[in-house]
Amino acid sequence: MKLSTKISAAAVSLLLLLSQIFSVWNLWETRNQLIENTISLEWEKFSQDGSDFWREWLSRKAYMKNEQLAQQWAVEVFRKGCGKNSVLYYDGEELHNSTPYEFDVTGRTSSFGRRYDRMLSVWSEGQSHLFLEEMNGKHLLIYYQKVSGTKFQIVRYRDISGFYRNSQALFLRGIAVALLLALCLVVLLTLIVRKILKPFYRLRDAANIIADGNYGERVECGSRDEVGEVAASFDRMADRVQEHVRELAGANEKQRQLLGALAHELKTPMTAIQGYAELLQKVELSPERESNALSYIEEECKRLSRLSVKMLQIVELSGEERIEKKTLYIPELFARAEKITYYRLREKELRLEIQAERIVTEGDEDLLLSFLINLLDNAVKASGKGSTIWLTGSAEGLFVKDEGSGIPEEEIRHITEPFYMIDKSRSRKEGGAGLGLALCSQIARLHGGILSIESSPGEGSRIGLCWK
Amino acid sequence: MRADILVIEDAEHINELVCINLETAGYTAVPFYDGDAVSEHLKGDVHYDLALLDVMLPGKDGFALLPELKAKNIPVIFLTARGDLPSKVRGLKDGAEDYLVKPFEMLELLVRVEKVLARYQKEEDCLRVLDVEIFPKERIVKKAGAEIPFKPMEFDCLMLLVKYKNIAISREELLNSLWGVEFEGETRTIDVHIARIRKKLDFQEVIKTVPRIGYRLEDRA
Repeated sequence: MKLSTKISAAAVSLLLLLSQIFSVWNLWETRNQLIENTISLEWEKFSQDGSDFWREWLSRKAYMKNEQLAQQWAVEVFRKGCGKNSVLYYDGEELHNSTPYEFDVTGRTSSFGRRYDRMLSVWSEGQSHLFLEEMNGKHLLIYYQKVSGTKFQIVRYRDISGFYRNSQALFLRGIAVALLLALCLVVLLTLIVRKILKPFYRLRDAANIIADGNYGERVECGSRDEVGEVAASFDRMADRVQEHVRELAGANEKQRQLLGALAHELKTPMTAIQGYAELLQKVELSPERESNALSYIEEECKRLSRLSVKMLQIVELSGEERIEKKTLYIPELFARAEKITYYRLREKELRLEIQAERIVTEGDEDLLLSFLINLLDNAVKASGKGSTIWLTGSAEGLFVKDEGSGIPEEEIRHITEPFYMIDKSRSRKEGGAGLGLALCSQIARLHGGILSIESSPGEGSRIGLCWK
Repeated sequence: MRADILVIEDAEHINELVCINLETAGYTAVPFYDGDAVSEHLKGDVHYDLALLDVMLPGKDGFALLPELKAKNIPVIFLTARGDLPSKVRGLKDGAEDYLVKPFEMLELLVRVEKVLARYQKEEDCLRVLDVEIFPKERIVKKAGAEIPFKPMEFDCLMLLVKYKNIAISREELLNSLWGVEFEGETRTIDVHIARIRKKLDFQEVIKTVPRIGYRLEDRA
């Protein structure tokens, strides 16, 4: 069931229930008030009539020699004084009746006589009393009085069925009006609730659209109520989800490109290995060519293994978020790096100048060493014979500076991408795979710094780890 | 089948490999390592029968060199690590004759080279090995001027060995070329054919058995 229907149904049924309780109570009160008014109007008259009858009858009683005459006289007085709607009894026997009803003062068929008798012990004689009786489907208000000192009883009635009929009719009319109002209420309430719930419908549609993959959908509900807050929260959530999805897609794309680059990078050594192996198997080569082929195969295998080691390092490091840091002595680190690159430096007759202003740093020794060696290797490749390479450690960071060929400005952006090589054939000839700087930037990241690259073509480069 | 073939490939090892393959099969290979050098070289009065062209080259790349080679009426086979369909389509649409994706097998390279050459120049009327003459069109084999009867399958087998002389051809490759399907466990059939060819032409020393591989027809002339 829809929320608007539920709210309308609940509101309408509550309204009907409460309004009916109120109207029943109201009708009851009104009817009682009417009866009360009637009673107070007639009560005094009845009492007066009773005492008048007594006085009148008593004034002539002395002349009444026998009982029968006295009774006749009483009827005479009664007829004159009390008139319509009244009955006179003498000791339970009806003397005069000007009503269409038969009352029973002795309490055999109706109850008021008995009730009266029962209460006589509390009430004094001669007082009037009031009873409500239902006779022949009519509501009668009955005044009853025993005339004091005599055996006369006077009963007067008043038909108040009209009040009951009225209140019943009013009750039915009330129900009809209430039902009509309830109908109006249902219609209006449904419309209003729909209007209030409109942002929710919008929210539902937006959620469905987003679920279908359109992450750009927003609710954009301007209202300032709770619904507006929910919509704003929803939009915020959608923003984050979209951002996240975009990030994932980006990472995915990056990975795909990396894989593609890797596959491509594998093909060149694979072609050489496969080709030379086939050649050795199928063709009788001269001894010189044979040994060449074998050395090519070995060389390409070495390149593959270097490639896989670096790839593994990159993959491992890119998944890592923090590393175990130890206190390291920078001069010691530099000395080790120099030792490892010594032969490569000497081959090209390069000078290595080491300046360590800062002595101690925190980091992973193996990673930082691999970082420096990668940079030194690059510097060696870029430098011309007899030039100088500087290795410096300062409060700013660790840097390798050379006087080599430099990096064209438009390439700097790309050179930390895996497999990016500025001059592919030259890089390959020198054994590069295009992974060095990608690895270095990961290492820099893990040491809480960035890989800083400053270079101008023809003048040299300064590349290093810049502490943030 | 003497033909001059340009080998344009920047990876030295692979360039040398291709050259060795081509020379073994009796072609003349001319290596080039970058695009600009090729472009410069083509300005002179040179003639080549075919060019094997790498796509990614220093200087002018393969796609840029293609029109220059076409202008010189040199058919081109692309030789590249890019195996994706768009690159292949582009290469072929631009006018390359064929497309060879690295890594490739020797026989595949030679077959493709031969097919392209055949398309551009008439197949030779007569192939010679020592004192044996083979006429592919007439399907006649003569030894010292005397015609020797050959069954069709034997003839095809001999043709293959002669075409790719000095290169070992595996039994599987022979089977594939002759029957067109892979015959599981039927490589002995090849041995039977080879034995007959050897006997008919007295080629016991010329057609060598290469252990674990197959056979090689040797003609170092």
